[in-house]
Amino acid sequence: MVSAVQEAWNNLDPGLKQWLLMGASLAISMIPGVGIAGLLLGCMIDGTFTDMLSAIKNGDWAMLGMCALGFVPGVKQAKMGFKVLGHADDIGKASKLGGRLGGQAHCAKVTEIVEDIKSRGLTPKKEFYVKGDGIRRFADVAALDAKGNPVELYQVGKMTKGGLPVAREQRALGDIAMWAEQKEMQGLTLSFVPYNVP
Amino acid sequence: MGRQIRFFMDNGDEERFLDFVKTTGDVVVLPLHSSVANPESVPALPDISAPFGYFVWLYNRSVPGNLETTYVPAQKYYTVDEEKSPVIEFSRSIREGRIIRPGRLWVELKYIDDDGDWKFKEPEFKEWYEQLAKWIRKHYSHEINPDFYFGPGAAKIVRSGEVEVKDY
Repeated sequence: MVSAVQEAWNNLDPGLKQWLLMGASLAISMIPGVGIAGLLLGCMIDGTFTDMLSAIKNGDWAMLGMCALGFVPGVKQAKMGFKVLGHADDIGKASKLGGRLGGQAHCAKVTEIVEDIKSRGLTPKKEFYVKGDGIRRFADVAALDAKGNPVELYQVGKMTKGGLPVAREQRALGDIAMWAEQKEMQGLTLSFVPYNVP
Repeated sequence: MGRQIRFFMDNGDEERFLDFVKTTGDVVVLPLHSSVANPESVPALPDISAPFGYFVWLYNRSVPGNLETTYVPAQKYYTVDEEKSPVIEFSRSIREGRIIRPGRLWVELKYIDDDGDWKFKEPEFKEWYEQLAKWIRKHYSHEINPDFYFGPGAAKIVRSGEVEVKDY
């Protein structure tokens, strides 16, 4: 059933998809007391949906990822610089085969990030603990400066066919962004790095 | 997924911890960066206010496994390959004025080898890490904050209000 719906969605005309998405977001935004409504409405107003659809049409996955992060609760408030580094490569193919290989793809991507951090003269720290009010998380990788201050955080995860971080990663990104806001981490960047090709 | 234990230490706590660590085998402290592929151990912990002085590796030569390093061309130095080497990250508690920030011991216990398969580090390495973590759990308290272990010295200066805990 789910796959049939998915297939039908994939076969839809992109223009129709755009209208459906916008209609759905508008409908949700009308429901009183729905916490996400404001966020979705904000995304509509600031053109996030339009940008996302444009990115899908053009195959601009980096732009799509940046737009997707707009859905993460707390991100806009945190006013941090977000970026999606690199593109999923062939490592990600393994993730479709199951958890074990997915774990390997995740691990390989983390290693790639660690090497990049080292090449820029920063200190990588894996499984960086973040704790705030109601928040307890491990960011996959942090980059620390010479004084030990975290300046970059990376969350590695799976991206959906729609180009968004999967729900679990969205929650993690939201929490980490909220933590950064609580700690008033100025200039800290948070990046989502997909390890799969959806 | 690695393992870690987070703590607050003052200088005295660090000294006592390292004294213990040295009783667990042929242990050396390695710097974060090295100009040679086979890094020389440092006789004492670096000045924590020096650039990157907050971070060293603990390497136990009594534990099986080879120390591997990688060259970082952009920076022209070598760094320890923490994924493959049996090393423990010792991130130190950083004190800046009235603020003290946490440190941690962290290890990676498995990695992907060149054939793309998971490879587990030697059991002796895991045991060594557990030995160090157990020592901290035994001698430190986590009454001030359950997420962190506080060395006796750190606990004292936190309780007296001399410093304020900041977990980043």
